[in-house]
Amino acid sequence: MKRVKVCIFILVILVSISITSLLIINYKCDNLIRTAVELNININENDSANISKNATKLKSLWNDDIKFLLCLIREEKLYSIDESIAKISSMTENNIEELPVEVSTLIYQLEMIKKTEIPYYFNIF
Amino acid sequence: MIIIFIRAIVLYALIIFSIRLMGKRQIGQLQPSELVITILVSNIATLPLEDPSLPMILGFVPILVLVCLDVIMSGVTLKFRKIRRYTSGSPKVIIQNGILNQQELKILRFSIDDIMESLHSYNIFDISEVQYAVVETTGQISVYQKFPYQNVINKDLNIHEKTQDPPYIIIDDGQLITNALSNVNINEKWVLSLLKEKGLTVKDIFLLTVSPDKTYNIIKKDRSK
Repeated sequence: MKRVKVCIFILVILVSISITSLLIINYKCDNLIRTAVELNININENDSANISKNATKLKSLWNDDIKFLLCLIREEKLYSIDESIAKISSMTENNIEELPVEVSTLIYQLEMIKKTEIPYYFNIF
Repeated sequence: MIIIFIRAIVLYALIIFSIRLMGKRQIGQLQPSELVITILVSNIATLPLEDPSLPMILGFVPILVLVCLDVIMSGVTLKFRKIRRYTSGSPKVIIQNGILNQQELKILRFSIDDIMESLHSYNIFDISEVQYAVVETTGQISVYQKFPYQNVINKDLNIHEKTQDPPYIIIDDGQLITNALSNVNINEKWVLSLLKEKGLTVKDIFLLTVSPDKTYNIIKKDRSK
């Protein structure tokens, strides 16, 4: 029965880790989405000072988060986001016309990450 | 490359831990559920090794979950016989009083060759010699022979000898196994004086076994090479 108790303990830890990681992923994605939405508003208002400020903020947030996310999510899923964020920071300096599209793509990708991590029936089956 | 190397070490440790957690039963006799777990674990463990883009935790979690569920399930089935019947099945009698239960053989999808093969391993070549044969939940066939065909044992011949433990290994490849000394009521001093008497040291011995009645067998190391 000692083994059974150890296994129950391990299962409880695994469930806790899974739920915590889900919450952290959600929290980090929400933070990034919030900044991206702010960036979108700045672009619509043509507020160039805040555009570059939020783009830098987005990049630094991502640089902090990617280390953690790489431990939990497949690399391929994160590469496209990484690419989008790299494009956004270069576009803020050169090509502002295509910026809204790239920011929308980024928001969509982050929403997808959130969706695929939550155990909805379509994710499970 | 170094990542795969580190991952291999970590996964090796995890699998050893998992198999130890499942217990010794796992290696000797696989129940249906244990067989499934073993196949799944070996497959899952290769995924993070083959694909470095896959986070290791995605390999860790399913392995630990499967093993833990298996152990918990085996704990539950120990307490609830009904559940055990569903997860492991129940032993089936296939031969009774020398008569084959053909209906049961069909259900089990056992051919007569399978039965004969198992009987041969018990040195039985005629089904009529078998009193009782049962297919265990592991798929192994256990056989109980009719009385006239059973081997004669010491009790039948009225040979009464005191039963004693088999010899214990005291020196294994030049290393004294101190844990085993108490099993045969000897101490390190006894071993060293025995070796001194023979003009040997512990390092010279490949194998020393001692029985509880203090009879011993010494095999010296072969130093010819």
